[in-house]
Amino acid sequence: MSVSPAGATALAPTDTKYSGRPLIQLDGIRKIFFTDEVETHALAEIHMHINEGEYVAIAGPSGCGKTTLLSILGLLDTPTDGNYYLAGEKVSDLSAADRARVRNRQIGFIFQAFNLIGDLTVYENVELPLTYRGMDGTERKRRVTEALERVRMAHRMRHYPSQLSGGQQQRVAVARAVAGEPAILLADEPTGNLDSTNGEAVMSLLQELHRGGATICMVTHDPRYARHADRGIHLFDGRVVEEEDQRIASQHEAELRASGFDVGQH
Amino acid sequence: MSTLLRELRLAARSLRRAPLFTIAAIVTLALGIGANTAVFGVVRGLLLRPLPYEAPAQLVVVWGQHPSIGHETASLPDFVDWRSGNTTFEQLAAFGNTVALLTGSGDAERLDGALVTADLFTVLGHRPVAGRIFTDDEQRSNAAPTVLVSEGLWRRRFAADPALVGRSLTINGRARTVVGVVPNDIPLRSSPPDVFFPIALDTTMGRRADFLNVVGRLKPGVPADVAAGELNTIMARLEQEFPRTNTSWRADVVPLQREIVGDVRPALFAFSAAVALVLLIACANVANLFLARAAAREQELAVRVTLGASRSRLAAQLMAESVLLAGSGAVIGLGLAAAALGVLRNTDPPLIPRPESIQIDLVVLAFTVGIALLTALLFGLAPMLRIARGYVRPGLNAARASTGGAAAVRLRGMLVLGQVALALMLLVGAGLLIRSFDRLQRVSPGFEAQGVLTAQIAMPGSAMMDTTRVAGFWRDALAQLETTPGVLDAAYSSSPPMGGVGYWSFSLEGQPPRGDGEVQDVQALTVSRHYFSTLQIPLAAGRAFDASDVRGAADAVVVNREFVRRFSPDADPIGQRLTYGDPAAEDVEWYVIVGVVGDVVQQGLADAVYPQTYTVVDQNFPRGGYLVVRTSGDPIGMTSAVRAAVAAVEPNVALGAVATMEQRIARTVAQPRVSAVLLLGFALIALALAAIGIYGVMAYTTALRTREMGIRLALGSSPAAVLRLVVRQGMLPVIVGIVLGGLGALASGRILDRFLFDTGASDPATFVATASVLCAVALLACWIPAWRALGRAPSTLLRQD
Repeated sequence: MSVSPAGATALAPTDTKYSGRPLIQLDGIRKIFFTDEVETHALAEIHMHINEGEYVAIAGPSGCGKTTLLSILGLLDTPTDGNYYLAGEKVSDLSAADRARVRNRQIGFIFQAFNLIGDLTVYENVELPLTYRGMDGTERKRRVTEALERVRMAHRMRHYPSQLSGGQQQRVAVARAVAGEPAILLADEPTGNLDSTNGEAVMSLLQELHRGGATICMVTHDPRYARHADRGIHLFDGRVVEEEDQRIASQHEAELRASGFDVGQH
Repeated sequence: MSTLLRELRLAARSLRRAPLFTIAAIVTLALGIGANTAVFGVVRGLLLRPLPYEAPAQLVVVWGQHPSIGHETASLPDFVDWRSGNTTFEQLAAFGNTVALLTGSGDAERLDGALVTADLFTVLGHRPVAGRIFTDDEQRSNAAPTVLVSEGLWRRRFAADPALVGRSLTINGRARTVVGVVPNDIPLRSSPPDVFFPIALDTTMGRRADFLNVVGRLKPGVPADVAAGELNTIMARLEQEFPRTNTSWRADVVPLQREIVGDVRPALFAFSAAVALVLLIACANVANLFLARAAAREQELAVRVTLGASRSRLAAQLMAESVLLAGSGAVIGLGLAAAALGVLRNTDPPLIPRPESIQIDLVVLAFTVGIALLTALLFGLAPMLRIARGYVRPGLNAARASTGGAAAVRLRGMLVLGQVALALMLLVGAGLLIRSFDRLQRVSPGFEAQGVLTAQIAMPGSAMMDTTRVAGFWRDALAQLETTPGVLDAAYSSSPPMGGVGYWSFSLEGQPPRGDGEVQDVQALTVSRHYFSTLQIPLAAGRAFDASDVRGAADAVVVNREFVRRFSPDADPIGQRLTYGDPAAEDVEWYVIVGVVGDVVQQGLADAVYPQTYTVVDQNFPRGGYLVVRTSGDPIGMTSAVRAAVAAVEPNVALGAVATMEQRIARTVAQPRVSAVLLLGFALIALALAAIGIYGVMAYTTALRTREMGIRLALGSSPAAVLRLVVRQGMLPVIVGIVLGGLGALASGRILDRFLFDTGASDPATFVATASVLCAVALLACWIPAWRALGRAPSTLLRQD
């Protein structure tokens, strides 16, 4: 198991499912948007943690605060109140430059719209976050090649995004997210722009990464995909209304199926 | 370094993938940078590069100066007194211009010559290419006749034969020994001399026989004004000693560099300002393109920030694109500038002094690189400022299209406003120059120039052609020409229009004596009988010269209308007598005014008409001058016929400086024409850039407002009302820009004022016309994109993202 610079467990093949040590800790996080004279409370008193090696799904209806929460987790936004610890380090009041540094080294993003850069080849897209670290060329090449091989896109490394299907583009985006061996992968509706076949393929890829030891936090509104996670966090009106151990739920579901009960999708 | 190279490589690829943007930006920048490089090349050559003489900062020109005349060449006696009485000059040299005839070896050739003091070459620091320069002894009037041949003539006519030194050449009918070959780069000469003769320091010449250009080398550390002060002490003494000739005359000392380029300095300033405006407009244009591109790429930039790119890293990425664009623009601009300077160097006649000094050297290259970097900074600044101010934010919804925000819209409006203001300033400037040039061309020169050929005649000295033979030559040559097929009329003139002319002081009989130092002069010409008919100068009173005006008869003179207006407004001028000498002298020579002719613009179309007197060739047999021939066809095609006719009469003369009268007129207006054409060129570039810029911005902002237009239409607004709204809002920065540009043009009118002929710098017609052109262009630029958008169904507009 390799260790990230901040001391967090980095993504790498591992035998351990997850260590149980909290990688992310949110204490009383609130987020209020101020627009003219209107205050919008997007998140209210969020207390939660994500352990190393854990796979967490954040679910909830539109406008419940899923994306705001993921933005705060990804240091793309700052909370109005509360504390955020990443790998034991308080990151809720870092400067913009420091947040960029932490994002670059500890967080891997997977977007709904892939967000590959059209002017760059597959290889260069995956290499991009590594160049921001000032990593030397040989090491960059090794990591990019490995990451592309993991998502089975190494044969397309000279292609441009416009030459790939949506599913392939998302696999490249996953490779870009994991190439830097971040402490956590944040995925925002990673299947939202994909058909069901490609969506399943991407979810399988995330599962595979998780089995390899990756800590993943995924936002989704689709319960089918939420069930892939170890734990589900349900938001409503900016609050955590339910937490569920997906493994136990899945086990119950399996038992029900075995007993002949129909457990249709929600 | 590798990061920089990587950014440059990626920027190059990114630009390649947006070819329209890239080509538009590079062409725009090439025009702006090229124009600036070309003008700087001229500035560098003329103002910044040292003159090609030894220690040129010490070199000065000394002029005589009179309150009513201004600068004037010096007379030999005054020069000799300056030279012997000063302590501030290391050396003071002089030269006068002359024309020479080379015969005896090959075809007779008319040569440009210079009469020089022996130390002229020492003052300039010229060393002989072969042989030696003149010695002081050769300046004595009884010295053996010698000549220095210019390097140009030596190479052209004598194939750079080193044995030429020591040989004898027949010049003006007299054998002269070639003592050396010297460089022919002499200051204050538009055409370099072919031969140099030592000037005899004859102090018995008149003190107002001013023909010497005086060049001096100041002692180290002596400023020009101190030297002028000393020379003026000498002039004050001469005024006491020679009040008749020297009253009010002073000396002026001007650094040689300023003297040579003084006239072009304001023009260079005006052109520098013009091309700077072009570059600013180009920058505004590319900045606008960049802003639009940056807005379209905000998704990409946001992704980069999300992935951990710092602001400086993003700025470096945009800067890499700016530098690549500006660099490409600079390379093409440099090529354009080199081509333009090549044209400028080879114009005939030269449009600028010392054209050979205009070239692209390392300093000009450095300037181009510098201006390219500055340009890259200027147009890359706006998108980079947006990054610095945090407009590009990380986010999970980076894919959402961006309009660039209100600040970007405001910034684009400001850029349009600036472009319009700058373009209007240039357009007004060009409009004023064109109007001025048009008026200049409409000036009647006072004669009919079409179909007229002029040619200078060089004659040998009296040893080979005595006065009788000279008189016979002019008579016979003109008679021969008049019988030549294709020649309608032929005449002689000492100085045909659109060239130099002598200014002679004169006195009218019965006029009260002039005060000492008071100047009353005329442009004095000698012509033949048919001169007025050949040039179709109208006779206003009395008669033209006729067969009775011969040597021995009363000396006749014809004056022009301006002479009558100024000197005899109330009395009939016919029959009055004038003299060019001292009216109180016993041997005074009187000329009887026999006729009055129309005014002729003698020196240049822009010059005011001056009093003129004409004497007749049959009474004074000048040893040089011009043939003026009116032909029935193409005058330049008659050159060989004229040459043959002259050779048939006298083989020992040579024709030179052959030109049509229209060419002579064109030369006098060449500089205003070039100024007008150049500024018009810059203004048209500016107009095109501004039009493209405004259209681009309007098309872009209209595209951003497409959905809004759809909503307005859906809510019941008429397409015409929406169109009006969009056009009105688009035209707002244009109108403000026109007002500001108009004010700027008014304020900068002073720069152009000195180039304008009969046109005010605030000429309302020019302002209104140019503002209308710009307004019309902007209106179209606003109207077309909105009109095209409104041509689609509202439902389509509503679906626009």
